[in-house]
Amino acid sequence: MRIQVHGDTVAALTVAAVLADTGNRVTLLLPDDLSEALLRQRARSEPGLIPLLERVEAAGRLQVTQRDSDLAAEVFIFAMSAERQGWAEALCDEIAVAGSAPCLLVNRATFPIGTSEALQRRIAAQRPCTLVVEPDFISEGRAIESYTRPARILLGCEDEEGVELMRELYRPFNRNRDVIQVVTPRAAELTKFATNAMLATRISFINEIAQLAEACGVDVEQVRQGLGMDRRIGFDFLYPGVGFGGPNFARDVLRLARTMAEQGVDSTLLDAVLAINEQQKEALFRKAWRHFDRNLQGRRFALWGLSYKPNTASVINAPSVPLARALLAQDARLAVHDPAAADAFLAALTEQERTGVAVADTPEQAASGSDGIMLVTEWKAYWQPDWAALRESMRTPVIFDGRNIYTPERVRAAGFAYHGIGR
Amino acid sequence: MARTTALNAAWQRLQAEAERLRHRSLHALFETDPQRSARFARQALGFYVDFSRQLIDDEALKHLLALAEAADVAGAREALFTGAPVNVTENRPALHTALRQQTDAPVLVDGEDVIPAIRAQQRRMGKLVARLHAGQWRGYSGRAITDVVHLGVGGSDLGPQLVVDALKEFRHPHCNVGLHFVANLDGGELARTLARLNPETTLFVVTSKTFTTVDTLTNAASALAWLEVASGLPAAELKRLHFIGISAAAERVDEWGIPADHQLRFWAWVGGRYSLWSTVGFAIALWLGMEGFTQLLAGAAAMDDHYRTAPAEENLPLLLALIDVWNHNLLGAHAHAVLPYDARLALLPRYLAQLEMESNGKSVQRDGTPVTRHTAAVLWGETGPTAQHAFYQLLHQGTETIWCDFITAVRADEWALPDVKAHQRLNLANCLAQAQALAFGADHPDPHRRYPGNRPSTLLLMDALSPWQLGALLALYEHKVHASAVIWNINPFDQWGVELGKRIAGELCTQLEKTEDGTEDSSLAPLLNHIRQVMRT
Repeated sequence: MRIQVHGDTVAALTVAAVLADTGNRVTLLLPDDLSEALLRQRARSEPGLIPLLERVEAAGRLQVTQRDSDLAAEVFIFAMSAERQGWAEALCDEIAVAGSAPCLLVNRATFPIGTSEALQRRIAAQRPCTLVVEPDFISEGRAIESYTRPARILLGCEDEEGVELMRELYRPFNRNRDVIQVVTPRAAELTKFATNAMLATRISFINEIAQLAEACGVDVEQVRQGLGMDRRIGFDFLYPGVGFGGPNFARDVLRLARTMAEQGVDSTLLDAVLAINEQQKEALFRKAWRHFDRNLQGRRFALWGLSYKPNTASVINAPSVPLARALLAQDARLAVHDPAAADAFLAALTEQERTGVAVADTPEQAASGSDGIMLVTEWKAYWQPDWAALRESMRTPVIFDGRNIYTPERVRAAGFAYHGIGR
Repeated sequence: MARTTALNAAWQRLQAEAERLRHRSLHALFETDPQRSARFARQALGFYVDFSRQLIDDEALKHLLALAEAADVAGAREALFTGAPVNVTENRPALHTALRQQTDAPVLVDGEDVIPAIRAQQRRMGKLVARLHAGQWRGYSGRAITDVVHLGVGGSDLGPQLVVDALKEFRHPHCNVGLHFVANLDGGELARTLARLNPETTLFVVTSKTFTTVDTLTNAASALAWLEVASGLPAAELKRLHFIGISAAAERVDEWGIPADHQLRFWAWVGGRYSLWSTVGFAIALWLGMEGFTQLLAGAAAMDDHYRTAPAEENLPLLLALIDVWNHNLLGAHAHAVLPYDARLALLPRYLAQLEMESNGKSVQRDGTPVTRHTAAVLWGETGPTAQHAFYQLLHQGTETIWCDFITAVRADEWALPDVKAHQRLNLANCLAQAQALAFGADHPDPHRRYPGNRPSTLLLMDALSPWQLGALLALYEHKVHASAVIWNINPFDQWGVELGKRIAGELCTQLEKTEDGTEDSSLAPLLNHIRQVMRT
């Protein structure tokens, strides 16, 4: 098929590359204000994506461009970030007049509910257009895997031919068993929002239980295990920690809450989910505040992990930023380490705040001379530190484990004070 | 001596004017002079002040202005602005005008320029405000402060509370804290406020000029105890984290245990009821942001300049003072109602009640000799639209003559209502209608339905309410109070009348601590015995 992907995200790059890999002729059109180099740089933290791109580009099946859009394509896939709705609308107006042949619009972008239909109407005013809403469930850090081996492919479409075309497109990924589910476009849109809201709710729920566990002198890890064993509940998205972040998650929950308000439905639960999450981002600050008798002036802390989750360079809505802000506001100083996100982290701070932050090349360097290590993002490199060497190098041996990745007894046995989430 | 002679002559002439006009009707005054409503109106600084419904004419106004001249209001005004010790009984200046001065021109007190110290305190206030706006003021648990309780009484309470309430819609976008005011010492107000708050995230601002005010310090002690019970932490630690102290007595704030960088200062030369312009206005700065607070000060400074430089016949504070003198001393009315047609100014009447009655409720002149004329009238009020359904009956048909100030803003665009203009038209119509009805009355065959009219009022219209305009409005009344005090030759800046009760209360508190009936003063014994008996059960 001839496919044109419109997007500005690593997910868009993944969709374009994967579809080119299965034999389609794909053009990826980027917005004017995004440099190709920058997007490729972002793709570097995505396992396997760069080699895949090189392969399909060498084969001549993928073209990444800002200008020469292939408006002769029959399938248009929208995979832009949510704030680019204006761009999506402008593109529809172009597509509408670029030809007269029927076309397929596949919207993967997370716009407010009802937007996909509005986009289709813009094209359909001029030429026949079939709409498919295919919510983006690509997960950053495992983009290719999550796109090519999906648990389900959700298609919001009311046209049989459209569905057939999509089945054909996804045939290579839908062989083991049929995971395609067809619903209405609006149902697909709402499912995307509801999915993220449900996952966010689970995280805030376990974080609230973690606070209670702490107050009751219970290790929340034991509770989590017990909960997860129950098949009605399961283990996923039930890790207590310093809160969820990222570009989409919190925004989707917020947008769903707003949609509910607009529709006259109370969003009490989602408001609480978001409020708990914001509080949770400062959980390590509060633990340090209490550990050091509510006076952090002159203390030095090592922050391990700055990105909102491992294997990404993004700090959007990441807990590291409000945590750093809170510490710096109390005249503490920071040495930070992250395999990928240090630059983005610094850019998120004010100039004044940056004066209190040093970027370290290694986790050990950050820890050296500090009054405590704050594990914020559980990159693999942080899981097995040399406790004895760390203890030697630190001024005050305290571990603030924001993701409960260490075993408290072992850390304490190595001579540290240990503070986890809910334990 | 010459001054006394000139003053007596001015009063005598005014007496004659009053006799002449006392039996004229406003109806007749308007009929004989079609220009009256324009000629007895003044516009300045966003105000339109219409005093044509006062029982006054050109001749009377001329003699009132002559009275101001004979009393040397201009000279007293200069003394006020330049830091002379105008508060004679306490031998100090009253420099609220320096607090809002927009330039750095020196203002000397005992040879020292006070402006740099004012600026330093404003900067410190800005820092504390910024920390709260950033959500980086932490309570004992490490959570950010979400609520600020202002503890103060009288001047340390009414001003900030009025301004924050009036300017609710002007909240700074970064001000995400709830603001609460507690003044009363009975415990009920504090208990009700604390019931809604979380001790982990509540900050107390203790505001007292001497830092000995029993009402405020009692509330502060209870707030501290509330924090101690909730946190299990020692008092000293909670004072370090959960209190800001605002006072003119730094050493007492030190002693109480608030660290220096959580203290804000003001000075002996700032009277309590003139203190919202100082660091006492911290709650205002928190709500409006420093930019908004500066706007408030700038509005007041513009009125300062107007009072100091505008010609007497255009001078709004002076004209309002003369209208008070005319009604109170010459026409024999003894009560003054303040009636805002704007719910945002609901607290204005009680603020002005303090400003006027605490400043000018005096019976001796500056030199201690008894006054020979009435000083401040009884002032009270309520928002007009609700008062219409309450005490306006008395205004229209009662036996007392009461002069009224109607205060309103013409534009009210900031209300978030679909048809705000309809509300405002109805509101303005009611305001003007009341002024008309009071002035002109209406005849009716049934005496119960007859309106005598001839009841004087002044209309004070603002184009719109804003921090700047409210600053100007409050300064307008402050200077009106000053000009009246000069004419009555009294000191508006002391308040000895409030001391005796405090002293007796101290003695009685000890009496009430006793559990056994004692041998008290016969005027109190049965009462105290009754109270003890009820308390025991």
